[in-house]
Amino acid sequence: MFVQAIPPIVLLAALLAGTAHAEERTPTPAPTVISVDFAPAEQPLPDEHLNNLVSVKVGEPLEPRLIRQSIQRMFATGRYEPDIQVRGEDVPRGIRITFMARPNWFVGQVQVEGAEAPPTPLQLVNAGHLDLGQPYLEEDVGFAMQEMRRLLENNGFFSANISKTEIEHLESRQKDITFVVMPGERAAIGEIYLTGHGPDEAPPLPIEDVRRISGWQRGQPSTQRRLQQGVSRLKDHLRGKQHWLSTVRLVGRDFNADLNEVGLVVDIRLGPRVVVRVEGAEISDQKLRRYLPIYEEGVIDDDLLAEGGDNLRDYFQSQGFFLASVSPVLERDREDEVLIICQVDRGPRQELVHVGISGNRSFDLPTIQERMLVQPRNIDDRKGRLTDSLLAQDRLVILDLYRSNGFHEAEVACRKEAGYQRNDKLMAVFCDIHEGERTLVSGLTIKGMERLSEELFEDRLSSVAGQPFSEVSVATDRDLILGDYHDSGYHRAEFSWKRLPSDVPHRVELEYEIREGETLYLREPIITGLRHTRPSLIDQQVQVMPGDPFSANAMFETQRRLYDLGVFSKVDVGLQNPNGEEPTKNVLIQVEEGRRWTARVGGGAEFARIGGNTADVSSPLGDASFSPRVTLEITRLNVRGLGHTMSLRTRFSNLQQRALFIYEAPRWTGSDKWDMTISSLFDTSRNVRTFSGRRLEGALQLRHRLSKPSTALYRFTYRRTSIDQNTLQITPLLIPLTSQPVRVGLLSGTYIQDRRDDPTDSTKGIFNTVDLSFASGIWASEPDFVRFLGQNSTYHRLGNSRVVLARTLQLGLLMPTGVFWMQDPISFIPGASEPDPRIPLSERFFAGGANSHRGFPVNQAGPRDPTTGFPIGGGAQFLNSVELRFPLRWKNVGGVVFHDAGNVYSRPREISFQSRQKALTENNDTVGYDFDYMVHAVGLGVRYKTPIGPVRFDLAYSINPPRFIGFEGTREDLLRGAGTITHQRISQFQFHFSLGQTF
Amino acid sequence: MMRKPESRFRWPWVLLITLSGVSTIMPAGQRILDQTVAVVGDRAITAGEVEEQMALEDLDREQPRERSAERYREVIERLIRLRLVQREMDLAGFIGATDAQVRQQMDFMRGQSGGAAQLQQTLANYGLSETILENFIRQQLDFQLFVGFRFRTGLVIPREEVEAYYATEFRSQLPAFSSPPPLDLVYEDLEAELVERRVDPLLNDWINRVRSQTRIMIVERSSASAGTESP
Repeated sequence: MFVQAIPPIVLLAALLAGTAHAEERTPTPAPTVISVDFAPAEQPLPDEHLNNLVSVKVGEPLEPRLIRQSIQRMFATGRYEPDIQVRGEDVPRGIRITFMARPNWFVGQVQVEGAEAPPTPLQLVNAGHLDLGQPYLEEDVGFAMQEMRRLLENNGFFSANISKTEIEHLESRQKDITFVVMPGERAAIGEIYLTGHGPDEAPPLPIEDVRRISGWQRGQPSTQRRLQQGVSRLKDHLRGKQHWLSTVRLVGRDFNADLNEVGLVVDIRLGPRVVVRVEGAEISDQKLRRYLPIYEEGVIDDDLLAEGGDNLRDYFQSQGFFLASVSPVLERDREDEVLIICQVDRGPRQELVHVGISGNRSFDLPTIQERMLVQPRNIDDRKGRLTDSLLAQDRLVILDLYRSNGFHEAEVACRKEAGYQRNDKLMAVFCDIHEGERTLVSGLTIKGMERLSEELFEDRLSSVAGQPFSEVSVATDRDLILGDYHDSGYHRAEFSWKRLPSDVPHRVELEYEIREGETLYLREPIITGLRHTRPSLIDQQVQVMPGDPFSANAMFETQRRLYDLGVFSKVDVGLQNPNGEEPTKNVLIQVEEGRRWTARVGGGAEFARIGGNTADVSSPLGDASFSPRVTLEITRLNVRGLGHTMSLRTRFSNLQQRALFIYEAPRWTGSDKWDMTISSLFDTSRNVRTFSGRRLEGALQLRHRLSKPSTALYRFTYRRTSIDQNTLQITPLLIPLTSQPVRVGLLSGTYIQDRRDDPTDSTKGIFNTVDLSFASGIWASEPDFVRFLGQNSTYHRLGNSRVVLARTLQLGLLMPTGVFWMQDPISFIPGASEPDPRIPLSERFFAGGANSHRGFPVNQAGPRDPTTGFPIGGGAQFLNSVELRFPLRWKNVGGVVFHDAGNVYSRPREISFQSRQKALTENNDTVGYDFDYMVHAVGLGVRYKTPIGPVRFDLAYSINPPRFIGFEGTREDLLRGAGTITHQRISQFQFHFSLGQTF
Repeated sequence: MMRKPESRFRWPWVLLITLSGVSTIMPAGQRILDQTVAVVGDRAITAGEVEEQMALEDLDREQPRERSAERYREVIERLIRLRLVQREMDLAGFIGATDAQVRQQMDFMRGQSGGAAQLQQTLANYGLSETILENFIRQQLDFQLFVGFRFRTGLVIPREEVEAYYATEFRSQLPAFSSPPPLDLVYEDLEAELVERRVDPLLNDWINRVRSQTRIMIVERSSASAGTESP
């Protein structure tokens, strides 16, 4: 036995005989303790806690047992170094006691300098395993250096030298450690040595082949990534030759310091060729490799063969062969070749038309069906979904539903029925449920809950009298109770439960027992790592206060909030001395500030109907052309240490020159609910083909998070818009009216309600916005108007399928409220309704394009210039879109069919649902067209899912596209009154290519 | 899990300081009452405990006290292993011996010693007390229960193995020409013997594994620092 385990009976003999061997002793009286002191006088624990730990008391006799107990308790706090000594000094009336105990140090910030990636400094820090707040031990630091050295060697730095410097923070007892790495020169790949052999004792691969396949060329830098890639490539190569059981390992490295080269020792074991033959059905090699685990595992045994057989069976069943069976057999197992034959009996192809559930009295069908994976055929899946594995899974899910609701005797039997309704092509599934009696809780007693009130849990526990009894409910209660305890500082609270005997059948009396344990409270948070950030910014985010009970949730929340500031690249929050037995502990918050300046240069291009030139007015719809683009962004994070961000975003292309300055103050005034943004913009663009606009704009916006789905925006915008008259493609008579520079001051409020499941690709939920803006002379706006813009979008999943019906309705109204330039509109064509000239061109609604009405090219909806046919915007817009989104058979690919209806109207009162465009005539000649009618477009689209949202292609067919009067000639012709009037029409077919769903 | 390196032990100094209790460079009039000699995780082992353990072993061996650096080291090693087991018992929430079980053993000893007074005198002769003995008995009972729970439970010795043991090893241990008892009569004893044979290596492996995952440190004290350094 390793311990001197002395059974008491054995001791007896010694006790009986002990007097014969041991010297007779007379106990001497213990001296009285006169004083208890500590050295050094500055102790890491508060006096009160220290006095509780030390069992030796003044005025009491000295007992060695109590001294030992005191040493052990002090050490267990984790606040002391292992060397604790107790000294005594005899004085006339007793003994003076002194505890000699040095306080511990704890690990603070750990940094690595001088490393040459790879490995990165962060990788080296992580390799060291020195956690924030853990006791500082020399052996741990030595171990960390050893691990860092190992990582450096793995990356070719065999001559690396690591030293360390430390900064001690006396008050917090934290030690910051900086490891300084002098990596030396990275070794290059040298010789390759092969071990292992193939079945015929021959070398598995010639060295030249190993070098070629692995990519380990002589002289290349030796990095961990390169070595791992080489091993993977060798494995892939052998597997490609059907040696699926082969192994490739890098078993050694031989460093030659003179050449600064590392020789690689590679062990390659070829293993037999693995041939899998499928008989009775056809299946691609790719699928075979996906479904047979022997390929992935590189091992062949009965379990893996059986698992592979089940996977293949499920595959064939998922293709509609619901009666398929697969039997894998290890036909030949030789040293050079393994042959596996999978005998497939597919059976007939069928459709699952019915899933019947019977015997359910306590749960309705939808409750059960929504949990099931087996599904009858539907619009989404025409053959239905059924495999043996799914059916077995569903049976367990139904059973679990019943058992977790007190039906402990419940049984569920599921079966397949081929030839349903006497049709060989139809399959049905039936699940028969036997519920049995329900067991209810007759009473619940909670013992040991002393420091939290039972009332706190009164309405929250699941297993109370009258409720169904299940272990799941008890587990839920346990999590709830312990969660509250842990948040209240009882970090070691424990929970146990038992059933008490009950005389009444199907009734259970429960007893919960809580062992609360000691409370852990927090001392002052110790914040380190701040270089530029103001401490007040951190204080606002810290959720743990001195004297608070310890709560892991509050610590996580603090970390989350600090990360959310966006100014720290790393945030660690932890307890100092996490494992020590202390009633109070320091909270450590260690941050690492990220780079404050970032610059990003980008390029791109647009391909759309954006062509044409400013001299030619013949093509109001534009020609397909290409516009290259350069972008430059400069961002300054953590401005003045307040966590604010300042950025300048510029974009230059032949369509747009734009500079946007933004100052963002998240968590404005320290509140989570308010953000502030100040922005200024200079923009010259031709996004509407009618003119080139120049915009100078300043805006102040407050964002108010009302609740999780609801947000309000309050905004004041002031802009000066001018139109380059040389680019204006409208009748010269209108130029003085609509192209004057204009100053617009807008006071706006926006309410956003977003309950969508996924904003980039919603499948259910609702999205509402209402925006109301006022332009008024009171705030120095030249035009006075009110603008309303509202949107309501909803998303509905059809049944259990993946088909989504999405719809949106947008309504925009512009209402002038004052005098600007002209009181009355000018009408050039009798009967034509034109936009109110009191609304400047740049403030009007423009619509059409991929994210709007797809029956139009970009911004081509609505009223047009009566002479040139270029769009001139309107005073109202209405758009209703309905889309049916459905999956296609290829992975990540979906399709849509859609219907867009609406237009931009000249004025709010002109909104019309009429679908015919009226021609305006004079003397039987068509002199113009009315644009106030509803344009309908239907179309098809394809979506390809990507992590940033679906890539979209839509093809729209406009049923009633607008006709309009155009002009054949140049701008000069237009000004001279030359040129030719033409009748044009927007093409019935429009295509759009974009990112993200339309709405 | 990270393996924590063990520190080197400077036996002569430990022995010097612990056994003498007085250092030549300690301030005059002061003596060491107790001090840490090793730590196992967050648990300290003190010189006083080592002394106590040696006294208990002396009592068990019925031999006069002997002191040597080697023995001191062995006792610390045993205490380290004991602490490891106790730590695992605590982590596992193991419920050890009941007060009644401990009391029963103590009563038995008092009876066999000729009464409580006689027992106390015997213990006092070794520098021990009833409290120390009671703690020791509790520790031993806990240990036996834990090993039984952790290792003996679930150990099944096939009947063929017991029969083979009976036919060979057991018979060879019997005096010459004596006839062995029937197998059924001794079956349980032989089975228990074979269980114990399996438990020991299992226990040792387990302890070594736990040890490799725990910080164990022997406290080093140099002569210069022992008495004069100001912590």
